[in-house]
Amino acid sequence: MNKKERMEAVFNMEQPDVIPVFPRVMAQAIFDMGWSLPDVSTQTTLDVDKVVEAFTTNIKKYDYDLCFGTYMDHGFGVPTLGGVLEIPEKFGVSVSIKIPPIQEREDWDEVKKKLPLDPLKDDRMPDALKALKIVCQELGDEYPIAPAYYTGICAANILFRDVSSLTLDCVEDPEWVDEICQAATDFSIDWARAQYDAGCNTVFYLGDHFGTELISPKMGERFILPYVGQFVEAITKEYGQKVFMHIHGNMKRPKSFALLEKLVKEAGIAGIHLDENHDAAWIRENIVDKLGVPGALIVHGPDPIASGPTEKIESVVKETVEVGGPGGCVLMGPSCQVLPSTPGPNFKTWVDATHKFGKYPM
Amino acid sequence: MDIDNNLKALREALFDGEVEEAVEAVTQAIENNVDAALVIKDAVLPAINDMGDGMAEGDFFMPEVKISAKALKAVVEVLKPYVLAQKNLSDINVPPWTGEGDIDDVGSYLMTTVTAAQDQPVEVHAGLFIMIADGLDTHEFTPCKIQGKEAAEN
Repeated sequence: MNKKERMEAVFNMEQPDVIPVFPRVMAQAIFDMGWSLPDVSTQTTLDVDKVVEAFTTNIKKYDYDLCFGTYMDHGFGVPTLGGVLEIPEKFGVSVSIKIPPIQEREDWDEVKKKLPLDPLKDDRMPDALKALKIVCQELGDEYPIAPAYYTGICAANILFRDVSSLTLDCVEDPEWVDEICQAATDFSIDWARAQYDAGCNTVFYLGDHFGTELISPKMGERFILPYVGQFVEAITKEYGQKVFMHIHGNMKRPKSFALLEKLVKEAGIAGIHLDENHDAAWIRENIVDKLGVPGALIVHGPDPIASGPTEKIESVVKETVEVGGPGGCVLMGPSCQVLPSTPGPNFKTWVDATHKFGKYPM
Repeated sequence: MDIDNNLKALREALFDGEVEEAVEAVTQAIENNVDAALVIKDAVLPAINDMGDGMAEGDFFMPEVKISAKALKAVVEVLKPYVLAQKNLSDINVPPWTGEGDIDDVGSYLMTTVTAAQDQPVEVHAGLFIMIADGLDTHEFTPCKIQGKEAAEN
């Protein structure tokens, strides 16, 4: 099987040749080249050549099975809306939002006027798309390249307003939160379209760090679920692709699991990648068997993938795969992303061990 | 309103994040000459413990934490002059905020901290609840950022 066939086997609930690995590489590809983030990114531009070199090198070096194809962080669109990014010099630290576009509620009136954002024109998005197009051409259609972003309240946080203020808004002004969630979702669909048009060729990878970690399942039903539904409908209808979702929060709690179930059965999510709260046995039983969608087996990003040692990584992978692998329909993922500071040998060990112990039939 | 009901109202208002009700209840207590030490011991610290319990049990999420922290800070401002009249905050031996991790972890930290402070003098209680109010207000709860920080520090 080539890597695209391997991933598609998982997404179609079939057995692949080996368990594929999706490390969700973001800033790690840049640091792995010995560069810092200011070497590739300003507030409004990306160095296309460096991004292409970083991601093609990373993919070939670590031999994982699914990638984003370009540099991704939380800052796309923020400078155009009036925000300021923090682009750190320090090794291992991601880009963050130094000043969000909406600091006071009243700022929304000015921010609204700058919408809709245009991914083909605004801040770093055109450069990210140029790099993506080149990477897609270089890797060819046998390598699965997934578009990625967020939607609903998670997108509203990334695009508009800091987490602390936004979570207070959920209680004090929920109708306004509805409004900015919709605006953020509209952008997320446009950004998804642009990535597919640039050459992405597989499922959409939707992230959410609110989940039932930051907000209750009940708030999740208002500020996550309907927007995910809109997003899935658009991607499925326009590109014929499924949406795989990475969501944080302890889904073992009954009310949290009920939200997860709604995300699958009502919103149409076609695969779930949870966080480190969920071991392989739980994923197999509750995601694959009960919800009937592919799941990600998790190895924790900070420990052991980033911290090592490699022997521990191999041992944890072996155990995880032995428990969660039989039956197929799983991929291997980190608890969030392969963290920016992850040493190369650790990353390689994680991928190689998964391919070694994850061969089918098991 | 009698003292017990007054303090009960304050405890509930803090837990529920009802800023106006919390300020009203603590002001009423002060105006009725309720000892500030008693207010902290019987209303504020139990409210913090309740919050911690809710966080650890998975019933209290970030909106609830932030709005309760807002109520806590408002009550801090009312009580501060009464408990710190004789001392500066910097003279009080209160450990710094060391809450780490996600909401569950911070909830456990709050409960442990409150329990450990039970037999301490009123100035320590006051310093503690100022420390906790600030800590909850500024703590980073976003899971991706917590993981990134964990890895970068190691």
